[in-house]
Amino acid sequence: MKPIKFSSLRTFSIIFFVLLAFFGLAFHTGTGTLSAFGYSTISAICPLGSIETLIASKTFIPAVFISLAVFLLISILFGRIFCGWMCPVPLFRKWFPKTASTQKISSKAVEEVPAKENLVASSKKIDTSYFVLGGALGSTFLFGFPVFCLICPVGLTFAVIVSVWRLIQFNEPTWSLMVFPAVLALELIFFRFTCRKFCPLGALISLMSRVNLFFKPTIDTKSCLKASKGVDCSVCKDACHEEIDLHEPLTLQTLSRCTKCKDCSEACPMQAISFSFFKSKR
Amino acid sequence: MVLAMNNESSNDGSQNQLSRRTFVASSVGIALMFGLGAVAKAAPRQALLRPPGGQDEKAFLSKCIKCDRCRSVCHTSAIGIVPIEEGFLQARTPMMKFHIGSCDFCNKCIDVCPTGALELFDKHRDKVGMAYLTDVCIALNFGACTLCYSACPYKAITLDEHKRPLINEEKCNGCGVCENICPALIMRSYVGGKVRGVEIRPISPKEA
Repeated sequence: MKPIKFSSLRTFSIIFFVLLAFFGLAFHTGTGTLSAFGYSTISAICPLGSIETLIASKTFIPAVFISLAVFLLISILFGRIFCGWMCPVPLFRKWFPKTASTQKISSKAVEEVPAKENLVASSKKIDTSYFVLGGALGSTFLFGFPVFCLICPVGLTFAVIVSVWRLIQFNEPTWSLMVFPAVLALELIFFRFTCRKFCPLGALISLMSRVNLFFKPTIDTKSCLKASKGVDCSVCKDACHEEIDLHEPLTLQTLSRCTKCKDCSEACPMQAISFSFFKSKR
Repeated sequence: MVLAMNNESSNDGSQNQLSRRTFVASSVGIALMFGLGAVAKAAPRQALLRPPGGQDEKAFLSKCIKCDRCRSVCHTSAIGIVPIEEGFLQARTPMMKFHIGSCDFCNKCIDVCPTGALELFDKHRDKVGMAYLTDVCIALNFGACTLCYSACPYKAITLDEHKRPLINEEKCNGCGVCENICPALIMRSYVGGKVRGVEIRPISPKEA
């Protein structure tokens, strides 16, 4: 039997969380959306939303602290798994492919060395998203309400679903049906690299994922073409949406942005990349 | 901050250019966030009927993350969501839709609210809103309709000598049963508008 591809598994996982929202719409379960979902008084709250409410209301909310602690625990175990396996944005990202589509190992790749050096340099530098995160939190503190929630692509995706559902169920035509998808499309087109360069939620989860201990991507230096034979291969880096180059010495900064999507290990022609539970020898 | 300094200390020319680009992009990102907050704060707003426990508008807006849990759990579908035309800041937050359902104060919405934006609510002490008669009320215009009077679970509506409804402001807690049952737009020929003969309005909107 052919093994199921991880990219399809990821799509199933994302669709599962979208279906949770539909479940909450169809039945009065109070399931909620990814902004906060749960059952009865227990809920898993979006970490950025949690921090924003704490800052905006300037009060201590125990349930929010517990939820943040649980999220940190998940980060220790799985790192930035939310961005790869739960957030619906990667589904849209398929429609906006990366600029220089996947490069194959060929002579063509050698010609593009200068461009690649640029990319290497850009993957080293600090990401803009951390500053957007700072701006969002500062603005939230100043104005007294969760600011990023207004344009959060995750929230807007579910807002569109809820609005369409209510249009059908209760005949509620609103401008929301036009405005929310438009803002969403704007974000995804103008910030083609929303996840890597802009999203403060991703930035926050990356910061939390610095404590991640398990499931780190590692290269088997014996089978990797670049490490063992010196072939100019960058298939794994090209496959990575965060442009992490596993051949470079990995810092906490770059590795914490890994969303465990396994695109790299699937792309590798030698199957040299593994996500093992335990720490690597590296 | 330390990271930023590390980045600047690299003496490579192309790196410096890149970090300048990062600086500009970051500044734009930060400005965007503050601009967004300022625009949302300045955008026109109106007083809205919040679910039980969300009456302090400023406190409510500081905690609501628009997660949809209260709207979903409401078994009478009395909770709807605010459309974007009623306020940029308030869009996607919950509001009462008494045309669809009325509130029986089961307090499930307060239980599921993850951030405590909906606070504890006592139906005998606190009020969601207050009922007001409008000029399409059938009893005021033609008489003979007493539906809201007989439906009110809190005996907050009485009848005067002409059998016109009177609202007791002390007893009314804004549950919306009267607005939900009011047939003013159904039994009369359609006169336009969406306002029924009795409607619940927010009490003393607190400016955020």
